[in-house]
Amino acid sequence: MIAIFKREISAYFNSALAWIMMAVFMFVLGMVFVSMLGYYSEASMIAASSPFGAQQQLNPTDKVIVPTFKWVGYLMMFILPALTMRLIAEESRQGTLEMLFTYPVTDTEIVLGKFFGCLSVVGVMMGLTSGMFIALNRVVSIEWKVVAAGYLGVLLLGSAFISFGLWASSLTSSQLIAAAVTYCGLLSSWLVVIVGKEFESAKEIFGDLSSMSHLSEMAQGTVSTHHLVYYLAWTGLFLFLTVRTLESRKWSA
Amino acid sequence: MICVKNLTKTFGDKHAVKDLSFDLDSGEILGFLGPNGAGKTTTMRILTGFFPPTSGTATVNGVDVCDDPLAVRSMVGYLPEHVPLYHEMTVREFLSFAAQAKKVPAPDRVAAVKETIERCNLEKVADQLIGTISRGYKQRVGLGQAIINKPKVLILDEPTVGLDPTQVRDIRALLREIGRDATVILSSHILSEVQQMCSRVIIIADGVMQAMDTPANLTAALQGETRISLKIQGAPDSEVLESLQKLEGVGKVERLDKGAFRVVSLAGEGEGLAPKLASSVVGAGWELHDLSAQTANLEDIFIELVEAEKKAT
Repeated sequence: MIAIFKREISAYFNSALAWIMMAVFMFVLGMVFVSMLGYYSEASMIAASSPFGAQQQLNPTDKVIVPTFKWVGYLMMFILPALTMRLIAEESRQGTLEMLFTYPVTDTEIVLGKFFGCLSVVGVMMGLTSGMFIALNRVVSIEWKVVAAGYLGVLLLGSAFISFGLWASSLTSSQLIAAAVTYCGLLSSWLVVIVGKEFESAKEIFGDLSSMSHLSEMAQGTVSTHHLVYYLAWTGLFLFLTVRTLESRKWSA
Repeated sequence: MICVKNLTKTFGDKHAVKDLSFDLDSGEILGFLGPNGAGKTTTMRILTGFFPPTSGTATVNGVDVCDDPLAVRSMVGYLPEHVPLYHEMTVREFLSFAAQAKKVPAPDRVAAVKETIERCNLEKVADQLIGTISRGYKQRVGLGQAIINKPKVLILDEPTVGLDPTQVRDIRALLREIGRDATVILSSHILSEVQQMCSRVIIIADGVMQAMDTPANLTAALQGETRISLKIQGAPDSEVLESLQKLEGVGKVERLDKGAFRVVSLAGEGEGLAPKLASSVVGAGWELHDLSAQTANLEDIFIELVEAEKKAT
């Protein structure tokens, strides 16, 4: 598993793809962050000059940190399919998957190696974003607990998305199809809240099904078991399905 | 070393391999010969633990491929047909990945990679990206990943396909060297290759074994006849023709040209016919200018068997 994990990481950083995706991600998130800061500083200036300023709830957590993590979630929805599409589809096209199947590694090890390889790339991306919060902390003191909850949230969201992308990648030897399936799947996992609006009585259920709603709650600093269970169950389910898909070579042509 | 019994693999209602049985001792080189789609790759994949058979058993060194596929995989080195490699890695990086994935202990890995690079003559390209090296080198890298953990069994699917003649010669030499300390199974549709390299041959068509024997026996037993061409002077051709026909063991005599004949032996009586012909020609007082015997080659047998199978079904 370690060998596959290491190869996966080197494959990412030896190709332009990971770098481009990271650059796009950091660029867009940086813009978002700066504009959030703009709003925040404007609002705090108005608050400071008004006599009721003290009563207004103005802290960087609500105005900057929470929306930033939400944006990380949206961006991941667009960036991760591009990172996960090649994971298995490329190897199945090149035939290297056939070779891996004759190495003394189990299918589960192959899947986990690839999963953690991709998750590490996402981890590096998240690591880069920490610079923003460190910079912000020099100006105003921020609640690091909320930031930590936010990072936990985006990493859990990331692993759920990666597991789905990995599964989509195992279904086909075409990277394009894998990416398209992943986009559709991830978008619908978010937009399921819209369906909820049609059914007033079941609104909460649909809200709970949405991948993004869990993140936005975690980004506000609430880490509760049901968020963890949601993302971990999702990740587990699709990793399991991926292993099963790989095993289908044993009975199908 | 390898024991295959009544091996059958079906995909849906299609038989890829049907009731295949054979044993292989360690140190043997077995050649799988058959047209495309005959079941060679399927059989090899079962032996590498890629997928299990539908029915029947296959064991490698006493371990069943169904019971413990991982143990089997660690004893078997496999080179798939189109030599899949990671093109964005260098040769050295790839081999060390293979060593780690094949569970070569960490302290021995660097040495194993170094040894493999030497054995496969990859020194020149060791630090080049695999995507940039020639077909012949890629084939050697493929062999390298197969032998890096010194497997007891080596399974090679069409190891020389798509190579130029020099590369083919190099790969064959390398295979022979590797074959000294491993049991080798290779598939091919190049008959001369199998004839040269293998101690035993299995001919397979439509998933069914047609024949298994040493290349020499296969050639002799299945064809059984020897063709001898002669050049005789000193007598009218018609007289020679008539007297040759009378000899024991002769099936057919043809006159090819003035003074040139071809004698085809009766089935199973090809051996010893050449000296008999020679002494009868000399005994009659004729001049014997040339005598050469040709045994049927594997190619003829192969086509015969595969064609016979097609007619039967």
